[in-house]
Amino acid sequence: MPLVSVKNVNKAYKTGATEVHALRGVDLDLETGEFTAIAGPSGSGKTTLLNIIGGLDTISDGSVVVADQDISGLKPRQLHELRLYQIGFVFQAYNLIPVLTACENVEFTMLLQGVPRDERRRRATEILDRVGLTDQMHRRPAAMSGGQQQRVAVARAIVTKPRIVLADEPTANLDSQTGTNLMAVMKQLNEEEAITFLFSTHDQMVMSHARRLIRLHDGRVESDTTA
Amino acid sequence: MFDILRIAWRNIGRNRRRSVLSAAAVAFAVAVLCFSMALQQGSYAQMIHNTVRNRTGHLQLQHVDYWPDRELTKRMTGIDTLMTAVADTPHMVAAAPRIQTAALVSSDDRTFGATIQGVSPEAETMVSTAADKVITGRFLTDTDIDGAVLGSMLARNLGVSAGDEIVFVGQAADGSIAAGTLTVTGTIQSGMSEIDRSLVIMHVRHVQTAFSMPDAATEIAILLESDRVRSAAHDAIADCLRAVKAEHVAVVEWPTVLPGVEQSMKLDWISGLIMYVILVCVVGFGIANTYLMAYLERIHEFGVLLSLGMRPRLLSMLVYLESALLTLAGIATGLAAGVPIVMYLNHVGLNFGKQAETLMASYGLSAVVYPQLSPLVVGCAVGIVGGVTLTLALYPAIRAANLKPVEALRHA
Ligand SMILES: Nc1ncnc2c1ncn2[C@@H]1O[C@H](COP(=O)(O)OP(=O)(O)O)[C@@H](O)[C@H]1O
Ligand SMILES: [Mg+2]
Repeated sequence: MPLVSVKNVNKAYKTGATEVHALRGVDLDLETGEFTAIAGPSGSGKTTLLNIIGGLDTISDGSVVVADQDISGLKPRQLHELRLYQIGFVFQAYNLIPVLTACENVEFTMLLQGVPRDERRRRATEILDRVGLTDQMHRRPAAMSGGQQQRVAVARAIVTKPRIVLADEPTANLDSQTGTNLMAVMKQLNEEEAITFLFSTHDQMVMSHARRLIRLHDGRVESDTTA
Repeated sequence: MFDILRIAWRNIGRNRRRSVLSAAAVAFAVAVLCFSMALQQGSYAQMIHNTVRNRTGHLQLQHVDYWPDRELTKRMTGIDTLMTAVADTPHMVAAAPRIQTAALVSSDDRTFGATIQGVSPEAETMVSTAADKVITGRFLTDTDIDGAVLGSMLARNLGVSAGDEIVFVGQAADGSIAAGTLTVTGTIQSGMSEIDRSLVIMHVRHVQTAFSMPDAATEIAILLESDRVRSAAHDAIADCLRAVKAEHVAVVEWPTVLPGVEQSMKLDWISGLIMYVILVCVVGFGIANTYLMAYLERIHEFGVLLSLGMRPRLLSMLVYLESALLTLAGIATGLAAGVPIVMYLNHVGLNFGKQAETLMASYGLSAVVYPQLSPLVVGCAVGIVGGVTLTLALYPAIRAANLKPVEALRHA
C-alpha cells in the first residue's frame, strides 16, 4: 500500500455560473521516503492537489488514500487528527505565528498534540539545531529573514515526525541562493531521517533537486519521471 | 490552555494602539456607569432618608390589622411595655409612639377638617424632622399636654397663630365624642400642601384621653442607623415582640407605609438600566468592530493554524480570549479609575449648585448628592458593560469556528 494514493481525482470549483476544473483525472502514488516535486505553471492545480492530499480541501470525484485512510470518508474532526499527527505543512509564506518565537512556533504543533512542555522544548531545540537556527531560537518571525522563517516552518513541519511533509512552493518567496539552501536542508532531512517530502514549484532550480518530478498542466499529470 | 492564553495576550499586543483604545472605551463605560448608578443610589438614599425622617421612620409597629384601613379600633395597647421591649434593639436610634386620626378643628368663626397626629414630643424630635419645620412659634415639649402645632395653611385658614386657642371635635375609639381645647404653640411648613393644609400635631397623651384610648397608639415609628439594616432590625424587633407576647403588633417597613416612594425609585432604576444597556450597546458596537477587524486581518494566519491541526473550537476560543482579555482589562481599569473617584465624591458630595436646588427639592433631594457605591452598582456596571461587550465579541469567535482552512489560506 503506497503512503499516498490519488486515483482519478477531479476537482471543480464553482464560482457563480462558471466552473473551474482545477484537477482532471489525476492519478498518483507516493511511497514513503520519496522526495518528489510537483511542477507546473501557475494555475495548473499544484496547490489544489497538495491541499487535497493534506485533507484541507475536498474532491469532486475519485479517491484519495493517505496513510491508510480514505480521506473523502473522513469527518472534519478526523481530518484535523490526520493533519495534526500524519502530515506536516509548509506554505509559500507567512507560515509562522508572528507573536511566537522560532522555538515556540516549532513547539506549537506539539502543543496541539499535548506533548509535555519539557519534551516540547527539547525536541524544538534539537530540530532548530538540525536546520541550523540555534542562534535564532528566541527570535520572532519579524526579526528573521525569509529563508530563516521557511527553515523554521520546515522544522515545525517535521518535529512531530509526520508521515509526509507537504510544501507548497516553499521557495517561491526566496531568492535563488536562499531557496537552494532550503532545498538542501529538506533533502538532507529526507536522506538522513527518511522524511517523505512532496513539494510544489515552478522553479527550474528547485525541480532539479527532486528525485521524482511530476509535471502538472491544466489539472492533468503531463509527465512523471524519476531521476 | 495556559499557552493559548499567552498567545492571546501577545496577540493583543500586536496592535497596541487599537487594543489600548478598545480597553479604554470599555474602561470609560464602566467608570461612567459606576458613577451614574452610584449617583442614582445616592439620590435614592437621600429620598429614603428624607422619607423616613419626614414621616414614616424606617420601621413602624402597628396593630396587625391596622394597615391599610387605619381605624382607631385597630390600635396597639401597652405602649410603655412595647417601647421598653424594643428599646435595646440593635441598630435602633429612636422610637416614637403616634396616634393618627381625624377631627374637625375650629377657631372662633371657622371650622376645618384636620389630620390629627398625636406625638410624644421629645421622642418625636428624635425620630422625625417635624420640629425642624416649625416656622412660627415653637414645637411641643413633653409638658405641653394641651398644646398644638398647626400646618401653616391650616393656621392661616383658621386665622390663628401661636397663643390662640382652637377646639377639636372627633369620634373617639369607643364611638363617643372626642373633644377638647388646644393652645397653638407654633406652625410648621412641610412643603407639601395637603399636609400644611390639614395637620394638627398634639400631645399623644391628650389624644389618648380625648379619644378614649389610654396607653394606646396607632403606630410606633422607629428610626434606624440606616436603611441597610432595615430587615435585620425588622427581625430583631419581631423577636422582641414575640418575647413580650405582643401578638397583636406587627412590624411594618416604610415601603409598605409609603409604597409610592419605593416604586418610583424602582422605576427610575430600571429605566436607568435600560438606558445604560442602550448606551453601552452603542459603545459596544464600536468595540466589537475593532474585535472583528482584529479577526479579519488574520484570516490567513488562522488558516495556517487550522492546517497544522488546530481544532476550530480551540481557534475560536483563542479569538474569543483575545476580546475577553481586552474587555476584562478594560473593566479592571475602569473600576480602578472609577471606584476611587466615586468614593471621593461620596466623601465630599457632589454639589449641583444653587440653580438646581428648586428642581432637586421637587424630587425630595437637596442640591448636594452623595454618590453611593455598592456591590449592586459595581455589579450592574460590570454586568452591563461586560455582558454587552462579551456578547458582541462572540461574533468573530463564531466566524472563526466556522472557518474553512483552504478558504482562509487563500486570504492574502
Ligand atoms: N477556491 C477557488 N475557487 C475558484 N477557483 C479556484 C479556487 N482555488 C483554485 N481555483 C482555480 O483552480 C485552478 C488551480 O489553482 P491552483 O491549485 O491554485 O494552481 P497552482 O497552485 O498550480 O497555481 C486555477 O485556475 C485557480 O484559479
Ligand atoms: Mg499555488
